[in-house]
Amino acid sequence: MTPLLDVADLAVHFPVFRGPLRRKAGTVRAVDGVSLQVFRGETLALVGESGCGKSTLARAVLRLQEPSAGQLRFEGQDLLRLDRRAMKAARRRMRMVFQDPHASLNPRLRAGEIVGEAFDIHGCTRRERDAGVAELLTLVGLGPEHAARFPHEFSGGQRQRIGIARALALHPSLVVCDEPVSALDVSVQAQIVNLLMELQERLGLSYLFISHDLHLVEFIADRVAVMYLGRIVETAPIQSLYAAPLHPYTQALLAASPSIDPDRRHQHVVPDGEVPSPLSPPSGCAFHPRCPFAIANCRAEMPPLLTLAPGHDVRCWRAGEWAAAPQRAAIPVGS
Amino acid sequence: MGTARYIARRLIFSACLILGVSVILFAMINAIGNPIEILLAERPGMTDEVIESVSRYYGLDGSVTDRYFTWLWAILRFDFGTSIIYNQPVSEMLVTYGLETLKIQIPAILIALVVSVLISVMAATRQYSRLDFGVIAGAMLGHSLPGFFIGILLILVFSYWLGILPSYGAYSTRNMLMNSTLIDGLWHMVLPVGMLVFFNTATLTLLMRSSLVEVLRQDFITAARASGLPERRVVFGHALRNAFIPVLTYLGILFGVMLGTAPVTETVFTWPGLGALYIMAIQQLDYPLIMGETMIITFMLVGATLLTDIAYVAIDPRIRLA
Repeated sequence: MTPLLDVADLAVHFPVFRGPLRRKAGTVRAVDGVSLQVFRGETLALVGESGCGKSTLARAVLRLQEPSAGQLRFEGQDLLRLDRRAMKAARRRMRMVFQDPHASLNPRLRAGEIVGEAFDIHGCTRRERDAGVAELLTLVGLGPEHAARFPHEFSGGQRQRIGIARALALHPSLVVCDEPVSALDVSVQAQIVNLLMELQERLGLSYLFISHDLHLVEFIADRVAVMYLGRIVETAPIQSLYAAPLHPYTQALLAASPSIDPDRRHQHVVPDGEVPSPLSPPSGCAFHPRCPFAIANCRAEMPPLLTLAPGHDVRCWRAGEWAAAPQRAAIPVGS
Repeated sequence: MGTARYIARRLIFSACLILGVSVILFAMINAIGNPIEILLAERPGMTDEVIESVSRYYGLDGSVTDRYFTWLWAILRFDFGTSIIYNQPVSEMLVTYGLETLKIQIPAILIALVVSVLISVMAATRQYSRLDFGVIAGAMLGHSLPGFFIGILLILVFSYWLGILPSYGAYSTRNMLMNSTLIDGLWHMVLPVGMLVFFNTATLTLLMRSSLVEVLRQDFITAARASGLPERRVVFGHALRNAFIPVLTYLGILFGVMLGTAPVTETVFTWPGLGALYIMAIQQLDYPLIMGETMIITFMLVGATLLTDIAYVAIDPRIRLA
């Protein structure tokens, strides 16, 4: 099965200039050789700490940020080779939901104009637009009567519904959700997540779902990709990731995530130190300075992405050990 | 809707403001002393009788409150009295000189607005580029240099060295350019308008660029791009409209203080406008003229503020009509 979205060795590097003469002082490798696939109808969650390059990756996937290297295939097309017109056509099919619904809606436009803009851009008639807007607003749990209101007249949850309606205009196949609920009240988060899942079922959408909330991810995602310092360190189907995380970073993330289930309480293993600067990432495996299991080889060489189970890839020199004897993993997780 | 009520409230507030200014103005002018005594002080042999009759002629007898209400009633009918020095009705002078002032100020503000929008868009869409830094530096310089300095520089270059533009006045007294009043008038406008455009563009660009940079970073701009909207429409449609609020505030102030800065421009270019007239009136203690001009400046300022407040409501739906 060909994936809907196929990202191969994607990199986004930002040059950094310093000093009065603005000499190039280095490169921030925000995204550094990421490969991932999103299949039709599935949700791939992308998790990681803030600053690990999740949002940059999301932008690069939609070509809102031009990648420095790599390949990007969407619905069989090579996105990076499309001319302006073909790219515009592709944008109908891949849309985005933003984190902060207060910043992502133009305060000067009415809800109907915000949701309907895509119809105007892609040459629909006024009648098509008005019908589409009414349908979309109903679809996300608002009503056609809301079209005439301005964003400031809505609550946070309602605004995010407008943001989702905007993303669903003109039947996209892929929706990139960049932390779509993390700016909302907890009580509203569940409503929005349920809405997203319901819409996925009804419309056959695929989500690239960016989040740092592992409980939420467990609930919504089919597969998870864990990102650390611009690279994917582990990709796995949801059950195997939560049951047997193989990368020490994933283990630490899961351990750090609080649980109300007493059976799932476990020792908190917070990785030592800070996330290293992506301007000068550590040698070898970027996680080795914080990793309790680091060996000499980790410092020297970047581990390759190893496939240890069907669909379960991990980038760790000692992954074989954890896979062979998960009970010996020093951090008891989930059992 | 609440809009009408809002405007009505603003109107009443503005009227109170103007009334307050008129009281303070009248009190201050009175504090200077009886102008007749001051004017006639250097002429010995003036008897009290003469002073009294002249005072009566100019309406300066009677109590202060009586005179205030007489004056207030008069200015409500656009009658500012007669200029002591020029011996002309002040209202007529305000119109004649006012039109000359507006003739250079209005085009200058409009041209500056268009130019600064274009420059700001170029700079803000290329943030931190050489062009952007150049624009910031230029705008800072233009904003910091005193206006008269630019004016004198313009006169030096275009009138003195190149000799292609007139350095003073609004019209040629003889030998009209191409025998046309219109062309001759425009020809005289170039330098004063140029100076004001330079000055206004600098400040407007500083404001608009930073405002645009801020708006362009917002998610709804990315959202518009993600929907496939062409960049030009992203910038001019979504970004500019949102970046315009601080600029609108400044535009309101600019229209209001137009008459406050006019004395400088009109002195440099010997322009026959309200600014030059104001200086003259103050120097010669032509109190009907001073009071008339002060009231006109107040009207302009309050009017501009009122229009700005109303424009906010039109441009930004978030502003509450409270």
